[in-house]
Amino acid sequence: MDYIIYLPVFLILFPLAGALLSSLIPEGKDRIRNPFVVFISLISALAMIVVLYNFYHFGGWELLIHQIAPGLEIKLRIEPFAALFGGTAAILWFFAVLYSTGYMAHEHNRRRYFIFYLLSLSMTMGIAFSANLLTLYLFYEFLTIFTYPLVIHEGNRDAKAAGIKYIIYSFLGAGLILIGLILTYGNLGTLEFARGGVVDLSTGSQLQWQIAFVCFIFGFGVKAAIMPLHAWLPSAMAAPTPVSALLHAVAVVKSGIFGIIRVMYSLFGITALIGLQLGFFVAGLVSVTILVASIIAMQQDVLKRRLAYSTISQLGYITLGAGLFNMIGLTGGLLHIINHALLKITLFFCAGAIITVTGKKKISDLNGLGKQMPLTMIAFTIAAIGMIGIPPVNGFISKWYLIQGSLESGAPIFVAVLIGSALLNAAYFLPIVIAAFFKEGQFKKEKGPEAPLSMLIPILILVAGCLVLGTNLQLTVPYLHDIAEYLFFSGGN
Amino acid sequence: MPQETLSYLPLIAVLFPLLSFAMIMCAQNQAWWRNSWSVIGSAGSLTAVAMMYQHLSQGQALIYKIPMIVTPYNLYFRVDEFGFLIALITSFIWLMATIFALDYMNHEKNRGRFFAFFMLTLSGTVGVPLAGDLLTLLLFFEIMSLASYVLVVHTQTDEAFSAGNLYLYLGVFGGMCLLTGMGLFYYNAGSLDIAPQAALLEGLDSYYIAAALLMILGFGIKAGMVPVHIWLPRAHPVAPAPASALLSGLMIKAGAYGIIRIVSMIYTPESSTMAMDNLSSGVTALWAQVSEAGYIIIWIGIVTMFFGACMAIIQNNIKKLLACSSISQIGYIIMGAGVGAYMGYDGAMGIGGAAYHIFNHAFFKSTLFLAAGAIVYLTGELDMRKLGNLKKTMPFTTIVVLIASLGIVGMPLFNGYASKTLLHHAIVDAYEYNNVYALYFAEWIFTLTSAGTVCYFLKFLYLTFWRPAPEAPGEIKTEPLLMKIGMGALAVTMILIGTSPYFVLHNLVGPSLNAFVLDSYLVQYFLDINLFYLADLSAVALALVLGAVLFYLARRTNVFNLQIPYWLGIEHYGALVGKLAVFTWGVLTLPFIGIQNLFGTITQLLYKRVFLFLQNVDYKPGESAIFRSINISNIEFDMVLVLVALSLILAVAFYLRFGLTLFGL
Repeated sequence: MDYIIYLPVFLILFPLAGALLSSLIPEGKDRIRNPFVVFISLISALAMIVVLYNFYHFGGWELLIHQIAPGLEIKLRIEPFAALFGGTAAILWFFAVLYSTGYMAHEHNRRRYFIFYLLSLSMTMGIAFSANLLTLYLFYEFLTIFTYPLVIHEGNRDAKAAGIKYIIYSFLGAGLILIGLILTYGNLGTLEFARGGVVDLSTGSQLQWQIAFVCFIFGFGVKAAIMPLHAWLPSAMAAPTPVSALLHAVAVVKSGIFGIIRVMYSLFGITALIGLQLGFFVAGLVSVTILVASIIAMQQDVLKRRLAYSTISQLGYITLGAGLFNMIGLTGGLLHIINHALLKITLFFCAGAIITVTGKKKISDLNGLGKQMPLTMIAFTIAAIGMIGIPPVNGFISKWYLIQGSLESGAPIFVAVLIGSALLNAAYFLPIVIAAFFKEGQFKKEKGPEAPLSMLIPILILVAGCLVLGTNLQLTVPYLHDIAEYLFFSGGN
Repeated sequence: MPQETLSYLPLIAVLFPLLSFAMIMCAQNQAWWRNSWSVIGSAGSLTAVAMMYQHLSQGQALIYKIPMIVTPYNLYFRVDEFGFLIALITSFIWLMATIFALDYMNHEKNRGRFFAFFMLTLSGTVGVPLAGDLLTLLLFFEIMSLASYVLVVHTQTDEAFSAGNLYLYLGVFGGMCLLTGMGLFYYNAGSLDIAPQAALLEGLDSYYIAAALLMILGFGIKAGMVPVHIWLPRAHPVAPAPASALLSGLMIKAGAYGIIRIVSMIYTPESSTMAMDNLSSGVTALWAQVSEAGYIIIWIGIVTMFFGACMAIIQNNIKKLLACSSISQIGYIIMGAGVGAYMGYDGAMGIGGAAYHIFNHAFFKSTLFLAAGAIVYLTGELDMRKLGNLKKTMPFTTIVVLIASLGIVGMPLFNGYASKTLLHHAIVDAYEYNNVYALYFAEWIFTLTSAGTVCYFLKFLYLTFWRPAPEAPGEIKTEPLLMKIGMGALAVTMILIGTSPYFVLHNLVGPSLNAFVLDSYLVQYFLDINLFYLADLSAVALALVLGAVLFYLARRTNVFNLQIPYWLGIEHYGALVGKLAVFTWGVLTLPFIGIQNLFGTITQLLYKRVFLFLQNVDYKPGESAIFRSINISNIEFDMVLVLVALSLILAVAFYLRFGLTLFGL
């Protein structure tokens, strides 16, 4: 137990060291690098599981790394929400690295790719465990910088343009966060996250706090792809698929969501949030995001771009859940962090497998693909059904809680938004499934596995995870309910 | 409240077909493997359902709960007599259709897929009546809805796809309506049990009403209720015959089942509240509101039945005729459910009639579709105008069709008679209940529809079986054995049902009323009813004679070959609506595309004007390739950006912190 308290530091430093070590492996030596990076991510995932185990049996703990000035500290803390985000990311990271070894086999610059892939893991762990806004901000910025080389990996015009877009948007967001941070620090003299929040609205004018809050929402909203700050995400699809799958469906975008929820419930706290009277502003904003992104998704023909817009829309669900300001809605939002992560990573992995095996990127080219890649397409189908929110796949449950939460907040309009989005989801996912399984195409069944095993196995494990989580709700709902209860605590200040 | 007993049987009934599905998926191409698993799946399900009778006959409802599986609450099975009735016919007819399909599918492709999804659909369909709460019901409903899509598009022709799309998207839409309705209902009532809800007694607010409407719409789509029936005449005929038999015979019943459960069960007061001498005001108000809903549902049913019959008369494709006939017959059932709700506590006749008709219609419509399958299997033709004289070449099928047709037109001693008579009683009772004159009119439409049914079945029988063939028939083989067994078993069952209506009434349909909150005196009246009064017989005779006259007139005036003018047809309006939707869609999405382009342009501009300019001023990337691809320059530049932003921010912050007080604000 003594050393276990340093595991969070280990989780940050170990992938960092692993990344630096893997830079020593020459470009051509895949047979050394692949096992090495898989090993690093596996150890990280296992360490994360140990942390989770300890957390649930002995409770959370804090680690002060460095004090810059009173109230400005680099500090880590293990508490429920950190466990949720960190756990989801670390475990999925392992699968994504495994998948990457298969996907990247035919790509260039593998060394650079894996270095930054592991560095991003390190930074994501930092975000998850940060105990105050300063630490969060620090790791958040580094995550942007370390994911940039992944976005421009292809090195062509598109990728570079996407990279620029990504950087501009991200730093714009970061700047906004900084404004909010300074405003908060100026008023409170602390940036600590605490249960129930630390913000006392009486320390500043209402307008001042509202400005700070809106700065945070839009600042983190860049990574959370809240419209109109979403434009970097679809163009970042120029990155290799494992990057899109993990970073642009789980780690990076969810770190934005994580930031929003942290600011809302750990910095401001529910009492202050209600005092700010900006609940419907946030919820309304993301409702627009949910619907508009779904509508734009329907017009996309490139599979990854369609998935990207779907991500934007689904991230809106999470923010909506947080913005409803009630327990049930928050539970739904948090549930959707896990459920959407699993579903979307599966969908992206399928898209990547399709690109690797057939080279097809457009949906209109996928007719009859079910013959050649049945398992992949079955996985895709299950995940798509989950996205729509049809039982027994796990997307259903978060939708149910969000509906209940919307009613609880007294605004049935959000129910209409959720259901409308579900119908739009059906309208843009099901045609892909139909085309792949029932339309005639030029694909033929081939001998041997339909995709490289290092890609197929993560897909199958993850889709099994979707079904298991969808049918065994005792695995998620009680825990997430506890986390929501932890965050949604009105006895703060 | 009946006693409850814990039992695994509902779970087994659902898991058997699910296991078959998994097994068939493992080895799709082994004929013996998939055939045996199909039979095992449906027979296992039937056995499990049949074994429930032992408990139910002792007045015990079967329950089984698994916490937090699939739904946030419980996966909850609760089988009462009504659910049992539906589950029993489902699994029985499914088994017969499976046996039929073993031979029938020989002339189709992708048999493995067909049988696998045949089983998955069974799992969903049998699960619907066994479910004990609404979310569990929704789970099975969605499984049924999605899995049956595969059956609808089985032939993979363009026609199948267009029908299938309509089926799928309307199905998903219906499912979402149900989900919303259930969400609303749960939020307000705090319970999802399919049982009378005490919370409703405090008065229905708009949430409850919206929930009821959404759920009725969701189930109504599946049931083929007018005006959301549009998928039905297109989707049912394109599926392979065994699948269309089940779509028409059983799956639309899942919708009717849901409607009955909602209006006559969930939205009623508990039976204990009726035991008191003075009804509380909440109870009375609730009955009154249910009654209003029932009145609307009666008319939806009447319109559905009449419309379906009119459509059926002008069809020339056997399966289309049968599909339209299904709409018409589901109208009878919906009307029965409506009467049940309209008369509230006294609605035994309506619900009983509807339940009995669900039972009967499942048998004859499945049989007719299977027979249509036999016809297309042997002759390759479904157009009645090209067929003829099949009574010589296919005598077995002819007899089966004759039995089923006599059932559907309501001939005494065949199976449709009892339920049609009961439904006729129901609508007459409904009229006498409040003397609403419109319902007297409704009874006339009822009779007219019955006559219409006679008319289009005469057309079907005459054109297909009796008249001399228009073309010299080719060599026609006899029906394969398994097809004969499937159809024959159904036909024999129908004769048994038809000749002993009281047995069915007392042992299956009557007990199913125990599940509802009904006046026990009227339930007893329903059980003791004499089905063979002169008045009832003469009503049937009237319908038969009228039907024959209609048939003669229609032959003379050539109504049978009437093509609906294109501008009147549903297709036309469908296309119009489609075009309108596309147009609206275009207009609606225009701003979004605009916004998107705007953002794209702005980013481009930013990139070109500002960024590249600054980059050139600030730093020229070196010639080294690594530098260019990692593009360190950008990061450097961003440091500048961050610094600039920082100073700006500091200025703003200082202003906000001190400036406001400085300027006295």
